[in-house]
Amino acid sequence: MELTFLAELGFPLGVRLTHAFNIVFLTLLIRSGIEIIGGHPMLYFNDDCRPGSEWIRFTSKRMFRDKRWTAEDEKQPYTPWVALPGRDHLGLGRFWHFVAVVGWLLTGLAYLLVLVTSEQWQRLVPTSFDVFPQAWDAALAYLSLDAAPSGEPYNALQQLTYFGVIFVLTPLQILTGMAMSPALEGRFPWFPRLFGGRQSARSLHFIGLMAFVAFTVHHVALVIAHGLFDGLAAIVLGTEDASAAQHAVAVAITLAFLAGLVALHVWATRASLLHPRAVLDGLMRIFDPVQARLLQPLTSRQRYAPSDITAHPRPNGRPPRHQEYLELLERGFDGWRFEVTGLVDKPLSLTLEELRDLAPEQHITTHKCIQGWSYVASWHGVPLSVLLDHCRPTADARYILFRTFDDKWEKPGHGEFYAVVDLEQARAPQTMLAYGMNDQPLSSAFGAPLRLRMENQLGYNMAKYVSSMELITDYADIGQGLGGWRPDVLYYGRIAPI
Amino acid sequence: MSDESGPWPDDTREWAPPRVGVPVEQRDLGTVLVHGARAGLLGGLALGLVEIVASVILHGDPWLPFDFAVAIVVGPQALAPAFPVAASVALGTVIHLLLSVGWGIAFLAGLALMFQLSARPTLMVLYGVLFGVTVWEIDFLAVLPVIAPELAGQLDVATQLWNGIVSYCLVYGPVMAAYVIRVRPGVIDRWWLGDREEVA
Repeated sequence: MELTFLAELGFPLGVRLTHAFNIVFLTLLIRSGIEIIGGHPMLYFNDDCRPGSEWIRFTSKRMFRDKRWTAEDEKQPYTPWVALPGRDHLGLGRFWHFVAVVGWLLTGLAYLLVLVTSEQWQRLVPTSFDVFPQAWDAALAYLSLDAAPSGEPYNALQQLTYFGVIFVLTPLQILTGMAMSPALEGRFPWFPRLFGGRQSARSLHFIGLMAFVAFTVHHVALVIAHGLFDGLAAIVLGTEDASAAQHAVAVAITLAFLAGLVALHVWATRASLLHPRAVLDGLMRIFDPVQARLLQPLTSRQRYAPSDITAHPRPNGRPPRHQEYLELLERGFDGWRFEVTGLVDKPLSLTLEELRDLAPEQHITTHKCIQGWSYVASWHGVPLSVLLDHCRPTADARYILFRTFDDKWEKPGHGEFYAVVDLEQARAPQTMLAYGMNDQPLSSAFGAPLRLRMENQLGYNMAKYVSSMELITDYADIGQGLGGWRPDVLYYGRIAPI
Repeated sequence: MSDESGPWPDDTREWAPPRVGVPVEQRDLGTVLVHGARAGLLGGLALGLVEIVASVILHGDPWLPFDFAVAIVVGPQALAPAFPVAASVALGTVIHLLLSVGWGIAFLAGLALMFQLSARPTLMVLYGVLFGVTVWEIDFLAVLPVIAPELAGQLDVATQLWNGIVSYCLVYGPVMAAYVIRVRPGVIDRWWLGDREEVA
């Protein structure tokens, strides 16, 4: 009798609203997820990401075997008809994804609240092991093409499926997504290992996305099989045994909703492609406070073993090729001095030898690129906190501006590469200026003479080819004022803990 | 300090042009149509054979699959004993193969759109299985009840299991996948040959 009551109860307003918002956010998540995959359209079950070891790829090209290339070359731009926003806008795609995640999680919390504060949870949660034989019977009924098995309100197979999607697949998606955060992985290196490693988590996240797509297709197909108009009346109006007029109203509202959904996607795509800066500002306003509070403060505690080191790590971005850099590279940066200036009590000017004598530190960590690939490497260098102790920043200093030799010749007209790091972040454990990698001097492919290492961040925030550092109060007047070359040009975030 | 040191100590190769790679798939309409049709034809022949065998074992009637195929077009009278066997076999074969060729082209088109013509063999077989499930689901759960509702009730569970899911998932889709693995239509290069091994 209790279940019959549930069926008569229908869907309360909270369930209907969260169902609608779920559609909005899931579609945004899927399209922006496709954009993110395009950043590195390959999936692995190993954290070394050796070329050729991917289990699946979504690109029409492989890289040269007789020439050197970098991970940047592997990107596969997707059409805006599929990806949000498409055309190789990884930074914007990520922000759309994260903002949609926030909306989706809030929707999920609201839905759970409705479930636990009403009898609605009984729709989804099996209360007896009888659900398994009943689900088998329901499956046979579907197979024999008899009338769709009825339930009060769901048949056992439907109940198990909905339960699985909401209480198994959804948490799995959330957890595998979190496992890809460099801040979380840095602070809790065991966390991604629960899924077999960072790349396995990425693969599972993708498989979960596909499962959501498959569920959605089957869900819609079965709603049609069970009676489309009755289903729409139930989920739109909350009405069971609807009249013809109510069917018409439900269809009209559904069509209007779908039109609005399409309009939202068209607007989001066009606005992102035509006005990327404005869209980035809006999305950052929503998501930056979230990541700054929850993830950025996490400090890295990675301690990988030498046996974990990746044999052939991917480089990213081509080295500078202007004469000054090439000459310095040729003579091993002999005579070059690293300058520490700006808001400091004691400016520094150090040779590489002098830097090497400053409390050298070494750790083995995972390098996590925004594109999705990773590798494990040993880094040795000087902790930034040691440099800061030597130069003694003044009270006004809030950020460190890293200037580099990188002329970004691959993207002419966008200025030289620079990065801005919070002073607090600079003092975090395992944050260093590295001059060596895997017990070798840093090569030009990986950022010689110096590169930044911040092990709770994505790789793009770790400037390579560092030439000097300057303590500053504000970065608004540097470049385009977003705190880094990549935020300025590629619409990436200034901080990258996820 | 130079490129002779560091993680790739022996890498003296020249830099490739930015953002350029070697194409691994040639995705043109002709390739999709021709090889999709061939894959579908092979898959359809294998599927038909299994369905005939299953029908003989389950019902002692080898012509039942032909009758069902014909019934999609001419209606339930094709299932009546009076319907000529020769017409059923001829028409049923044509309808069955046309449908399987059409689905074969859809299979190849899907693979090409997703850059999966060059997918690993195991993944390709999985695609075949999943495609078989999808074809079965669309044919039997979505289309059949709409265009020929009177046929739906005439399929018992065992028939559906063997003539439906098993033969579609384990025969039709995988045979098409095997064709793609064997012929590799549109595939120019095998990407899974690692970059570093080639250099070494």
